[in-house]
Amino acid sequence: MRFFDTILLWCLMLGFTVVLGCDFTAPSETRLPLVEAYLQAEAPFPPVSVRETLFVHEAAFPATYVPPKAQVKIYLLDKNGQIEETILYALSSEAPDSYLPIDSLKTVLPSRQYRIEVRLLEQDKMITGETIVPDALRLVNTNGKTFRYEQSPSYQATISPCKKEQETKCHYIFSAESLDARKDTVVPFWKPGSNPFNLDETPHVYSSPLFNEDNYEKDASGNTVINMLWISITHFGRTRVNLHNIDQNMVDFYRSQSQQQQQFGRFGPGEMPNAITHLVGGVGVFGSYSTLTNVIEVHP
Amino acid sequence: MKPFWLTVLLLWGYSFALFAQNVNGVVLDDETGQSIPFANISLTSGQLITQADSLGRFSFTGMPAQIVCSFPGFEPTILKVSDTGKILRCALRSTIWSVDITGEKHKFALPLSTNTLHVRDLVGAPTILEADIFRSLRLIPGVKQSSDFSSGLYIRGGSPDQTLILLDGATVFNPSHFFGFFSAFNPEAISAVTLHKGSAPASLGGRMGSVLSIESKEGGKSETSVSLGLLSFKGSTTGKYNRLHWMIGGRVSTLNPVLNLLSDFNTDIPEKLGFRDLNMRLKLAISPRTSLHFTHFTSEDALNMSLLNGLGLDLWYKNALQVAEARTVYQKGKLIRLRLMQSKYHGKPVGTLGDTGAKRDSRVHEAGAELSWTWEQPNAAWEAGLKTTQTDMVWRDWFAGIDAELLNHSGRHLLGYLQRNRNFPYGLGVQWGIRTTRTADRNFYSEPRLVIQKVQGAWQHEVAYNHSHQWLALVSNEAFSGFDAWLLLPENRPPSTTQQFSIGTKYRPDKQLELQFDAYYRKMARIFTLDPFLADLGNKPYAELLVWGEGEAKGLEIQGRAKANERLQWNATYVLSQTTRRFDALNDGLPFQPRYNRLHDFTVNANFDLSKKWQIGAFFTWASGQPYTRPTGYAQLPNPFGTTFNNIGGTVWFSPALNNAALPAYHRLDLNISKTGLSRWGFSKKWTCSLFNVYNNRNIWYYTYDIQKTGPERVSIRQLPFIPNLSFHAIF
Repeated sequence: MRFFDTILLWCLMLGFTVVLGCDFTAPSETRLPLVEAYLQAEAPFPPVSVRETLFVHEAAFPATYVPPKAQVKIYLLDKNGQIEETILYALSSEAPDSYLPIDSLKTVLPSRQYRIEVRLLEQDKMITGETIVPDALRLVNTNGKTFRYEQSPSYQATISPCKKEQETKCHYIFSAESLDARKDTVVPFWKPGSNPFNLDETPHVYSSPLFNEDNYEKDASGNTVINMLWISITHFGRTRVNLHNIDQNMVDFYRSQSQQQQQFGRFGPGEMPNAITHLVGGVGVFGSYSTLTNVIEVHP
Repeated sequence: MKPFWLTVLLLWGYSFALFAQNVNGVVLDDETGQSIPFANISLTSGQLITQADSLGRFSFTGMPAQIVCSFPGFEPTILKVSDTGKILRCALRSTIWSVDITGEKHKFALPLSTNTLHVRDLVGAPTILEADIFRSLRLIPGVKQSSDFSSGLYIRGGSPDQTLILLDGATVFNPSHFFGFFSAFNPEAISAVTLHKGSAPASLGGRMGSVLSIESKEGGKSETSVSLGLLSFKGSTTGKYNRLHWMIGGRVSTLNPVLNLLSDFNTDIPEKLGFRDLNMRLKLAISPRTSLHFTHFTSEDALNMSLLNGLGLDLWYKNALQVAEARTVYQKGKLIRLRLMQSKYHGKPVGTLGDTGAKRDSRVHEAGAELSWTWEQPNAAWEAGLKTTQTDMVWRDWFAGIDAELLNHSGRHLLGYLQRNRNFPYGLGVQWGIRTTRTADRNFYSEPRLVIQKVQGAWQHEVAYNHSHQWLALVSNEAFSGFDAWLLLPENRPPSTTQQFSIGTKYRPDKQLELQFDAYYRKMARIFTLDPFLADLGNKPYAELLVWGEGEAKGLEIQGRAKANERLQWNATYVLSQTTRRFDALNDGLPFQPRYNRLHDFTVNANFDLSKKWQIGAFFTWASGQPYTRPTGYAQLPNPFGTTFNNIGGTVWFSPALNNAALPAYHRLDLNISKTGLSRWGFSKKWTCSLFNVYNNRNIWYYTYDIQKTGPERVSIRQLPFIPNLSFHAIF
């Protein structure tokens, strides 16, 4: 083969491969139906938000779109998955995307399974999801009610064994809500302008990331001993310390959503996985939790 | 008497002048035209005169009638020294698999997917701040880097952990400095690099993808070189004492004094950011046929940074390895080698926030012994070996006072390999091999390898197949290697595996032109990694922390190399490739393109000698934009339990698929200009001015989305701007 024939052949192959390699096309923006509801064990049924996702160029507030009209029902299921009771919802007069239970006194039962059904009336679409409400935790004992800031040990709560509703671990989120939140009671760590988050205003509620139960020591009775971190205390004075035992839907949603914009997380920069929602026909969260609450007092 | 003494003096002076003349030359590979660094130059009596430098150049004073140029793996060449004004050209022919069939010289050519680069190729290419081996590998088609910030190697669609990186035969687990920015290998201490993108010999394995084998410089020649740049001060010294040849090389970053100065004005400046490494290579020639070799290598990186109100970062990682090897040629063509090696990696990043914090302790320790036997016959070669390794891995995380041990496992392997290279008439060559591993759970895994070549005139055609297994995986972030940690395959699980098919052809009509075309297809199965959605790592069973998937990579690689004349050389590559991954736990179980996929990738590199002293080099690259996830919608779902700083709740993004869009195309031009010469104090010197990203194209690294009152705003995080650098290199 002569030299120029060879060059021609290579050019042809090059041209062929370039033609073969077509790149991405830009994805188009779409609205997805979104449902948001969090059932708390032993508390009245919560509002259910029914709306749609926003376009990336839209502002969240004030909403520039009209939420879809919907029919919302929550079913209590028996052990066989059959409907035992229906909780009906109606559109709130205060918010166009919020639906409230008609019977506002009815409470969520722990360790029971609920199903949500949201029918979008104008779109003939159905969004469904299920949750198993975590068992209510009991406080066995604590190491006190009054604490000096950053003393060791910090507030310790011994809680009853977590009853597993599914074949997974129990997961907790802690939150601390200051009941005496004022500018003059802010703890040094959270001082505006010098806190590591560069916040101009100190939050009065702090919430932790997810922790699974196996992170903590258990005593001989199977009770779990949990230490409060001082970082969660934002103000001196009274603080309501909450331990939330959350269901698998919330665990999956938060563990996936928290990876969406972490440049140094487990995905590469710019890689944004979808949150795991466990909803059929839409996105959002239909989750449940139980909460154990105690009030402590923190002094400087 | 006067005329007599005058005559004597004149004769003495003439002879002095005659013997004092400098003889200059260069040692080259006759086949490739590339220089052979550190070749021996000796008299025909065997007495060593000198050794070539890292560029293959040599110089000595004297006027022997003949000299012998030699280097392991090449036939010694005798050269007449008749004219001292000329630069001698010592061209050596490779003896590797060299055979003589039907009166013609045939040779089992290197597989097309194997590239051997000498240091000159690696350090001569323009790059950022200073010469870097990994960044220079970008000149090889199929080798990609994920960004300007990373030197991690993504080869033929494989992630960095799929490439086995060996230094003198021992594994290096975190081969980076500056948390991924540079490779950990000091070019001053390296002689050559061989990359097997596929078709690695049966003696190499343990990873699904490629093998990068790095060889330390061997001592011998008395030479010291130092180099100072904006990033580091580095040097190496080689020499010999009786039968002991030695090389010591070291590198230390030069940023700390600058940072110390800047930290007085800006609290965001790290208090400490630096690296250092040390290479040592010893060779003791016990007899002409037996030698002992020892390699030591350490690399260490540290970053210390304190921010406001108790927020701090203290990152540290270190590699250390030792290799001891005995070689003996007990009969002509028969070599036995015993190698003992150990390699350690230890990473310990710590982050503090108030009274809480996070800490990771990741350790890998691999130790092994290998006995190998090579028999080179006139028309073929055998290689066989036995190897045993033990790999211990520990991974502990502390978070908010909670101690979680993810991994504390050991893996023991006993493996044997056999390889046969054989040339047949009519230019046909076959290389086959088998590598069988017995794991601690008493399972056997075999990896067959096959290369069939047809060499005819200027053409080399080849088909190849190889099968590889992998028992470990790296958990890393392409932007930052400071948190790198390794995972070991859980017990009683079959390893990750790859099958690679390739077909290629090379056309080399003469030494001035070379064109190569390769097509490959890789199928990856049982890939494992840490579940990316793990909320916390707390004390869950190890197997539950992992997710399993599969992958595919295919591509066409085209490379052209030409030597227009003695002064101008260029190299151009084009790659069309695609790689996908699929994990049940990701992207709804559908395949997706990982970040390092690049559909088109074009590079051109040229070097031009402006004069004997001035050289100019240019590197241009154009590549398709990398995949990223472009959200098509979002919603606000606040954390129902209150304000959080842990990304729990808040803005949630939705997209049809992971990595559903591509960034704008990447392109960049780098230049370097260097001047070589002799200093007034007699040492060789070289000034290099490197210009990275000459036209300051701020390529996009990724997008992030900030929530503003008017809605989300897409913010472009860009890669590196134009960066000039000046470095000085001296050889004593």
